[in-house]
Amino acid sequence: MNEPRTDSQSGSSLQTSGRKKLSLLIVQMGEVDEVFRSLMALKAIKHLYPEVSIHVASRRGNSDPFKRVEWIDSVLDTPKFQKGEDPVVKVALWIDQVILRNYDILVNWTGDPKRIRVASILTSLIPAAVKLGDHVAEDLSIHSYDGWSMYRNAWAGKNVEQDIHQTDLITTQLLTALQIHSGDPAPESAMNSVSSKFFFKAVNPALPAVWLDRPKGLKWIAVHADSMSERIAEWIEMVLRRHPDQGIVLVGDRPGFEIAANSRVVDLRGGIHFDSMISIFSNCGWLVSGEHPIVDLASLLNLRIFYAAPAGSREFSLKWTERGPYGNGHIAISSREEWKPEVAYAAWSYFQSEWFHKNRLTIHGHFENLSMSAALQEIQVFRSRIRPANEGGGVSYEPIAGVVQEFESWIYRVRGQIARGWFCGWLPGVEEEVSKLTLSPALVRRIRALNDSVIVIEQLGSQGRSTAIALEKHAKNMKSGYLMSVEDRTEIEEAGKKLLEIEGLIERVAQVEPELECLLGWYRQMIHNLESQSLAGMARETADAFDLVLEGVDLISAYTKKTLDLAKPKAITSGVVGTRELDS
Amino acid sequence: MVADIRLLQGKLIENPEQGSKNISKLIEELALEILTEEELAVAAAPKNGSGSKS
Repeated sequence: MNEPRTDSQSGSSLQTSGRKKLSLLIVQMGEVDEVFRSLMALKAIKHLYPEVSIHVASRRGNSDPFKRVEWIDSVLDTPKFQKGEDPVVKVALWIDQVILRNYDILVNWTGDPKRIRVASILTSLIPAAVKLGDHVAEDLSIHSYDGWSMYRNAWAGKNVEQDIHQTDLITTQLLTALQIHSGDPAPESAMNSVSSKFFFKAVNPALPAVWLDRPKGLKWIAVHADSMSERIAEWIEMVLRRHPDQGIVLVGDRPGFEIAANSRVVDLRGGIHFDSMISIFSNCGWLVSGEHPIVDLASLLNLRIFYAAPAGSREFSLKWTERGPYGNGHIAISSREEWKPEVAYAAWSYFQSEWFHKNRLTIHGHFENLSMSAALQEIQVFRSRIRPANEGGGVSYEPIAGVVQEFESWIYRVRGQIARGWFCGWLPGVEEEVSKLTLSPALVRRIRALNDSVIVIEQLGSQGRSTAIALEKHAKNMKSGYLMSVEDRTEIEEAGKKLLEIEGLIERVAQVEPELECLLGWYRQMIHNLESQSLAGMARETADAFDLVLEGVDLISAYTKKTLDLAKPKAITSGVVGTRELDS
Repeated sequence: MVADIRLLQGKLIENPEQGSKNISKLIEELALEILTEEELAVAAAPKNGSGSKS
């Protein structure tokens, strides 16, 4: 009954749903990690809107994964130049191929800073009725067409920690646009799953003989050696010594470290073809890897990942979560200093034996059994989970054990909620969210300190908003945008100066409280993307930018208030004051 | 409160066929970017050729 249907089968039912069959062009000029994340997002899009036709413009050399997916209708590779050929003519002819395609929606998903320019030019050149993402504006600078792209540039692309994964960000961006332009997803489409197991077209790759001759009956762990510490060899030895049922397949580009000859180790380092990799992964139970596109591929194929989270700009930075393993049940380890094989082994072996201990043993107990309890003070352990739709959907990383950074986790979550409030119109109950917190005096003190700066930004934002509204009103009353009286000119200049002064003051607050720099970044991104050509229009857009900043401030204040309320002493039965006063 | 729908719907292009005002400039820049990238890729490629590798 719930068997996946093919596109042709689903087409007939969708015609009756009355939705337009839109054609989408995805511009993805980034590296393969972005290609895989785009495929993950497109899988969700195709699942909910099976009638859309999907076309992709991608870089030759990186576009193969798109070509292996049956429900992608066409892939436009960047052109290859022949010797003596005029590149401008070649590119013009290449663009001509798509000029008359009449795409309904074009979305530029390229986030790689090195490729943004190329992708933005393409986005500007290829015609479409609706465009999303970055593009090259008339002044030849890069602008964004929509809010999610601005968010990506202002926060996700910068050093702001927030809890929305890149895959979720692009998925939500396009799903929202489809909802606006095409209508709600049909309820029946939820059954049209795009199976992960058969994500890529079946091919029979020529597999390396050493893999074909591997010992049978073993469970395999793929280890991406390039992205790991050289000490991964020690981890492999621990696994081989203690788990006779496990085999290791080494993947990656470089030979790297040496490992003692063992029939349970298959060394495929030196590069294997994409199709071979897919086939090998289908025989593995885990991928062990650091930050690398192979993680995105494994996510796409539902291979469980044991991930060494890359270090960020601060100790235990959560920035990695924007590109971490996607899906349910992946394990990520973030380390205070260097990655230690014995600690990683302790963590991996806990999750590897979950089926056996069935959560009767805690991870703390497991570390204790291995005499490694102290190691939990050096790491953070997370498990990924896809949140249900009523919790906002998307991937989240739940802390399982290790170092707790209360405030950093708190503000990280709040920032993600601000974006959800801005662009999804969905928020979980603040009270419910806050009730899950474990409060400590340090957290309460830190939130109080933050609140002082939030109050100042709120006042500045309100002033900015009223100044912009007054400017809009004044500009609207002027007969011409260019010819004006001296009084008008003075008034406009004064308003402009005041707006700049307010921005400067917000910047000073952000210097004192760097956690709020994100609000300044957001405001500046909005101002960079002002679209209007008229003074009144620009003033209106400036007021809108302050509105969104103020909404963000409101949400931080709501979280702050609820958290501080929770820390207040509570009267319990018979009027006895509780002992939950945490502030010293 | 959700942001203005204009921020979510994307840019509605009134005359999609009309194209950008800077079309020749952009095509030139695009050709240069792709060409440079291709040259860099050729320079970086191992002598025995390469395929789609992971």
